[in-house]
Parts: sequence; C-alpha cells; structure tokens
Amino acid sequence: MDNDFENLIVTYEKDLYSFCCHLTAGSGVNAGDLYQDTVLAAFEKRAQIDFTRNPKSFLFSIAVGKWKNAWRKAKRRQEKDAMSEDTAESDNPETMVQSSFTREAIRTALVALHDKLRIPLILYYFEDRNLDIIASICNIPKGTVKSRLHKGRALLKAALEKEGF
Amino acid sequence: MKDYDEELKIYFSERTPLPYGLREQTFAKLKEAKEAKSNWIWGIIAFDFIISASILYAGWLMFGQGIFMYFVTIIFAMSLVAAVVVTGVRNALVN
Repeated sequence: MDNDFENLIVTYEKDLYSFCCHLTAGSGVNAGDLYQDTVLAAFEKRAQIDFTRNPKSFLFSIAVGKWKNAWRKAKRRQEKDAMSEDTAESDNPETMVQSSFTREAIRTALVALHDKLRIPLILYYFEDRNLDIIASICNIPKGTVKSRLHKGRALLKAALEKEGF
Repeated sequence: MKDYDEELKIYFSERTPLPYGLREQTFAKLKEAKEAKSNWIWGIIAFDFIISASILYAGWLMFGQGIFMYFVTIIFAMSLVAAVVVTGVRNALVN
C-alpha cells in the first residue's frame, strides 16, 4: 500500500503541483508548501483512496481543503502586516516561466476571481470538464458548479476583453 | 463570440515542473511521518507493558502468591494480547 501511495504521488506530482500553483497564484501562499501539506494529508488518509477509481480527484479535494486553511491564515497575516502584501509574487519562478503576454493576462484575470469561481474553473480544465468530479471535490451541487463556471467564465472574459484580447 | 476556451485549455494544459528537491523533501517528510507513527505504536505497547507489570508487582506486594495473583496475571496477559491485536488491526486497516 505504501508503494502504491508513492507511485500515485509520482504519477500525479506534476498535475498536483500545477494545481497548487494555480490555487496559490497571487495569494502569498507557497505552492510547494501546499503541495507537501497535501501529500502528507493524503498519506494520513491513504486508507480511503480507491486506486481503481480516480485517485487524482482525491488528491485535488485534499489540496482544495488545505488551500482554504492556508489562505485563511495568509489573509490574517496580511491583515496584521500590511507591508507583507503580495510578497514573493514578482520573484515567483512560475511567473517568470509564464512569460507570454496571453498567459500573464489569463493569470492576472484568474487571480482576480473569487475562490468560489476560480476553483471550479481550474478544476474544469484539470479534471477534463467532468462536472460530477468538480462537484464532489468542491462539495457543492452540480447545478452550483455550472452556475459558478458560467459566472467565472463571464468575468474572465470581461477581464480579458478589457485587456484587449 | 469568443469564449477563450482554447486559450484556457492551453494555459491549464501546461504543467509546472516540481522545483528542484521538492520531491525528495516530500518523500523525506513522508518517511518521518511513517516512523513517527511506528514509534507511537511501540510507545503504546511499552506503556501498556509498564502499567500491566506495575499492577502485577503491586498485587504480588499486597497479596503474595494467592488467588489474586492468578487474576492479575490473566488481566496482564489479556491487556498485552489486546494491545497487540488492536495495534495489528489498526496497522492492517491503515496499510
């Protein structure tokens, strides 16, 4: 079982880390920390993983939960110390790699979205547009996923059009 | 009307590689977590053993080798068996 778990992590590490990067973008929360917390929490809950179904969704649902906690803590820290706002953002290697103008515009527009709209939108592309999986990861009804996706896409579109795309 | 689906698909299809050393660091933390768990299990067994032995010794001091000692020995043996069984079942469930 431990080997299965390690294989699972190695298989999905890039997906999971990229997902963590998208979640934490512009928040001041470190994607690497979120990735590690997610893997450790998944290890604790490894008895619940069904390797025959979709273990990636299981990892993503843990990441979303961990992200909400980390974001709450980061927000409280930022409120206490206004100087620490958006610290490592400009030095973020992820930002440097995504140098293309379009990517940067999408990234900026996504960061501006509220978590409630952003998380389903990220999952929509990470989970091959499967609304059932998104609903189970976010713990919301499928109809709510649809409406949040619709609203998120509309806001994203407006932001991108405003930038001239 | 443009919905930016294609751009978003491309944007999200790119995977960020793990920073250097993150995988090793994560697996080292996993190893630590596993070891901490096994130490914790051995701690419970040791604690159980010490408590059981203390009861046995207290019984021997108070009552010598009378009928009470048989009673205490049975409790001692049962508690050890229980600890081993609980630990075994727990490990089987977790692993």
